[in-house]
Amino acid sequence: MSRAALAAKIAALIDRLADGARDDAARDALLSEAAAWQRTRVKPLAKLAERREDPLGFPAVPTDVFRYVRVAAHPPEEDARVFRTSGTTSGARGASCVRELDLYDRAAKAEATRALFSAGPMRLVFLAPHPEEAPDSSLSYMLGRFVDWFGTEARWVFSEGRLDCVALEAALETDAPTAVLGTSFAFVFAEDALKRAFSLPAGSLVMQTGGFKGRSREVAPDALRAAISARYGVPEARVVGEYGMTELSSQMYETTLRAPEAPRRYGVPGWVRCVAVDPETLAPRPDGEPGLLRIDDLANLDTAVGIQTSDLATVRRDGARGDTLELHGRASGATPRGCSLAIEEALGDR
Amino acid sequence: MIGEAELRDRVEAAISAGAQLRARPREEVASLVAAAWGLIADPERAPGRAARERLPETTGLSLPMIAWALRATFEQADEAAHLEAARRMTPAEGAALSPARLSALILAGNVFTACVQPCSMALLAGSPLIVKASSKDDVLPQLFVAALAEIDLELAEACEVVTFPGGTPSLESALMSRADVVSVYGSDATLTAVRQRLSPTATLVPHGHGLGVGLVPRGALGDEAEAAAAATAFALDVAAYDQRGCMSPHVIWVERGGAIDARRWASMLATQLGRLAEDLPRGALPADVGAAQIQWRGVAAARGELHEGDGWAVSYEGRAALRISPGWRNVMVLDLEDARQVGAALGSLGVHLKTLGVAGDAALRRSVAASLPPGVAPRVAPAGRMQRPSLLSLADGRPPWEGLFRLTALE
Repeated sequence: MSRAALAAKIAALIDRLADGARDDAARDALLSEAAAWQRTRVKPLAKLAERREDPLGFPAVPTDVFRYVRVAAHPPEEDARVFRTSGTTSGARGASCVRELDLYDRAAKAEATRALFSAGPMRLVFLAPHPEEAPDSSLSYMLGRFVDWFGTEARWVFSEGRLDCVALEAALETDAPTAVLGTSFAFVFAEDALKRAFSLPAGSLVMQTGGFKGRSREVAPDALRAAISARYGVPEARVVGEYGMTELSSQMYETTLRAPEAPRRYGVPGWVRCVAVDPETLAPRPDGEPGLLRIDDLANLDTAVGIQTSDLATVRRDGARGDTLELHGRASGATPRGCSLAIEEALGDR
Repeated sequence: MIGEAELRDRVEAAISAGAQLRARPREEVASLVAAAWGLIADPERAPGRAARERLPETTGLSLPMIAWALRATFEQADEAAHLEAARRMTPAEGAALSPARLSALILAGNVFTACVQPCSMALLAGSPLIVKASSKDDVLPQLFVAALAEIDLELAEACEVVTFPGGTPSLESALMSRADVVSVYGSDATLTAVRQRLSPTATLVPHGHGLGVGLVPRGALGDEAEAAAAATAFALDVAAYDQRGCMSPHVIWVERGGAIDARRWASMLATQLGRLAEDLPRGALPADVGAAQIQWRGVAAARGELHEGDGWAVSYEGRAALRISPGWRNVMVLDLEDARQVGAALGSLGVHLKTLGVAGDAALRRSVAASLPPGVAPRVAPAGRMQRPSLLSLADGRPPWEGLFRLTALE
């Protein structure tokens, strides 16, 4: 099957499930089809598939692999975009090579519509770099697309690692419902810099994503959410966490806008399969038991649909809410452990 | 959790016991300390039984691994070794030994036998000791004090063991406030924190982050049997303490030009690790390590060859750069064009390189040691003995009694 034909099938499924409908059988069948297609084209995936039989039928590519080898079903000259991770202590950055952005756009737009912008377009204020400043940031790319899809007006107030406090304060003086979107560490910068609280109009919301990665002081999620709520004058239920990563094409959002009374969890789009797996056997953990999060994302057609993260999570089949995800944080790995190691930065090129 | 007042009392108690300790002939202390360890080494004696009962839970190691580690440690920490240490501490004529009034020892939790050398050395030097053990595992130092008390109560009073969670400034200050020397096993962050709290006149003996690496020179690959012997020896180095020690090998370089190439040798190492998994099974895998292991093995499988079994994995990744292993018996094998290049490969590790295991005879080890760059001072140990330093081994390139005494010149 050609890429175009497979992409068309995936696009059709995303469109069909965009409103929150579920068809897990169709999703799983298409995942298997896409994985088989990728296996003949993505060399690291083929090697992983040879390693051992995977309990879910095809292997998930660990995110670290993207730091060391090219994971793509097409040659480099056909890259439409290369998104890169923000790096590690060693400086090595993972690369997600996309040949066509249609599936990425389709998935991003569908889930953001459902999770954030069901009321329609509004003013957008970004605490993140503009896509022209960070062309290899998948987050900046997505936020740039949000301007086209959901924005009545856009302000970018974070540039070259610095918050433009004056611009942010000006952007928050408004009578129009506004969405403030950015990274967690940028919100911490804002907390440290802003001298007063604001009162955004009803219908406003905040979307925050990502961790701190040593770029700011760390703030516990609950504390940061409460601080954001107080600072911007939006109810905590309208402060929405986003979970995404460079190696994925789809995103997940906390479901608090559409289910404010339910426990705060991430909704899993219908074209995405989340599974908590056992770290040794890679077998799925029973529903509701924590494990390492594997994400099978149909929109990842150009790289690998199966992605193995280092995040600890519990996945629940949550009835009418669909599948939900509760994150328990990043597994810290074997680094500072007794007199053992945290010295990757000392190891030179990789 | 111990309170500050009690901790200060314990510190004072240890200091008070110093006079009795210093009054003893060093050879007598050596014999008594060795005898106390001997009680723990002996599975038939109560301390030895207690060690084998309690350590699997506190360390996460399997019982066979615990038994191996106790045997491997104490066969090198017998009375003769302690007497030899006492002899070496004796100053030359014209000088007198002035012990630290108190030494503090801060232990990590990764290798449970790490307390043996510093505890022995402090007492041999005539310095009373306060040990801050890992809050997860204080079994061996506690058993040592109990065994010592069984043998000689007065001597046992010179060694106090406490635990409290790290990052408790008031307790850390109380622990170190009276110590002339503080020996710290832990992360570089821990060392930095301790250094900031130390009085200007106290000596810090740091044992920070570290790792081991292995080398199989072509001289140790003359035939199948030699290569197999090297694989057997290094497999034990990887399996020891489930590769959690700062001397455990993360990578083994195999020099080109031998009868067996690195790719094949990696499979030989895998075979030996498979055998050891039966005799010395790995402990349960913590979830965070499991996450790191998935990533580490995934990269290995995607860009090289991965041999994996129940609780172990060996990767062969050609001439790639070293990747840090998550431990728990995951090791990479790499090609090395020429053993003389190993120094260049190791230079960036600096003080973090604790042990370099070398297959083959002593001449090969001497040759490799001679090629090490400045700033790199690992133990250069035979393959199979990377995690088995002797009681007299240098610790981080320093004498094991570093800081425990000063010398008074008799002019």
